[in-house]
Amino acid sequence: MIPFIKKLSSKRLAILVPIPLFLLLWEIVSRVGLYNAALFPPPSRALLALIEMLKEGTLLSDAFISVKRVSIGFCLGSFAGISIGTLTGRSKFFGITLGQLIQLFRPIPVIAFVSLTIIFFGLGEFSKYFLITWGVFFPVWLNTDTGISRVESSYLRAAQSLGANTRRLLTEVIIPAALPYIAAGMRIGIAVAYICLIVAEMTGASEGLGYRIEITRLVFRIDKMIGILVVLGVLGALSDGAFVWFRNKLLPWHKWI
Amino acid sequence: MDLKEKYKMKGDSVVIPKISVRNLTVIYRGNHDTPAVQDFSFNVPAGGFTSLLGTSGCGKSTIINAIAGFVPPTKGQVLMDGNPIMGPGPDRVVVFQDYVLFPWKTVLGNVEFGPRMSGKSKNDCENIAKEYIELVGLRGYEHKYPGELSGGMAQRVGLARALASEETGVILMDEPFGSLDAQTRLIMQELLLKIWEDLHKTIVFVTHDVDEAILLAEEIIIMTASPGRVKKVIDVPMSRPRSYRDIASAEYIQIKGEVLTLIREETLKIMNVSSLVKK
Repeated sequence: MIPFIKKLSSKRLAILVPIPLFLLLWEIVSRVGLYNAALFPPPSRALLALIEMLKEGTLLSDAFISVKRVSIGFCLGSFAGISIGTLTGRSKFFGITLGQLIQLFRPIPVIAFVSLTIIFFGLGEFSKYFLITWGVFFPVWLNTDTGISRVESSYLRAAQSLGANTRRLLTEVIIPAALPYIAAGMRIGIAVAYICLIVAEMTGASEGLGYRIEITRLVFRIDKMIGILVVLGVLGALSDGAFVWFRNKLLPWHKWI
Repeated sequence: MDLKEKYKMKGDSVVIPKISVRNLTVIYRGNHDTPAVQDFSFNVPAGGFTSLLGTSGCGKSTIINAIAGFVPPTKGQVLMDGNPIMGPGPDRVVVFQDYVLFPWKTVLGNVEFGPRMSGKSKNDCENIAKEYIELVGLRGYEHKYPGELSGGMAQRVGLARALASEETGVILMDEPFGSLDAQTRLIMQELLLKIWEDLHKTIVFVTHDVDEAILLAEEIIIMTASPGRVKKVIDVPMSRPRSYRDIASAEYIQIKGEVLTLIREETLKIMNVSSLVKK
């Protein structure tokens, strides 16, 4: 046993040891019967519940619609955040006027907009896209605005002295220099997108992982609920991991800025 | 007032200096009392190598920035080929002390930046860039990022980038080797000497290093401490091609003695070390 552990790298060890240990402990505590097993099911039951939902077909269709909502909302929110952030970061006029307007809305928690969104846009897909887009917009906008407005003036001078005009300055210098900031904003945006998704689905949807959590609560299938939480955790981690992978591929230099 | 026209009309055969700084005064906003540079005048002939030598904070960089077009003159004029300089442009590129390479571009991407801005074809840009990358001895490093390079390599990229902007007749160098260790600096100075002797560019070179100024320049302009004025102009008549060995020659030592005395006066002024002044 010990030579086996010694062979593993510390990174692998960090994954391979605590997770099984945690699951084992959970299984034992749940089975000992200290607490109602229906309200605190062991992980083995959650796994069986997941398989059950997979067989029913709800798991895949729920996951699919949720991922679709997150992806569309994330893309729209990022696009809006990057374009408007470039405008407010680059132009003093828009930075003051439009920037201040956005700052008025930014401190209002996204979740507080759920009811208003339903009243304005109903229970359809648009409501979900809107809420996620709204949530993703702010961190992406703020980071883009900061990144664009803080481009070191020495880069601008170097580029101008090499003959860059205003347009090339933006595309060749200002936007690339701000990309690490923008990427950091988008990464926060991914987490926000999932929060908005679940809130939107729990309050007014007929499918999706958030909706399924609500349903399992109503029918006391806590094992299914935990199964969905695990799926959400995995989806979130995969999205973040994929984003980081793409960032490292597309901006191999980001670590030197 | 267009000097070129004036000279043509007169029919004179006067040689117009490549760079002409006339009574330049620069006062930065929010600092009305002390100008960074005051009533500063000098000329650099085409193909010349002029060094601005002064203590730190004497306004050396301000003069480079004014010639580069980054900073407008408060009073006076900065002319290139007789025409007032209106803003930054590829006819005068700058080599910065901290290199200012674009970290998101590879070595090749950095060096071909100038040619690309002038609208050359993709192929031409790459060929020009490769030529200068080779010239500064960085062949094989084309696809590295600046973050992967040492300081000496980074500044060689900075030099290649400036040279690749081929309309450039003038290279403005703002303490370009100031961040390098002494050994690397010596090699860089030799590389620059060779490039200057081969390519006939006009160079304005700011430094606070006395040896560097004498080894490289044809003419040294010694500046007073704040505000920067011309203290004295010293010719460096040493023969070319020069090499690092020349720093042991009698001529060199004599010039160095003179320059050191002048610089020391200015340094003492700002440092207020009265005990040393009395001696």
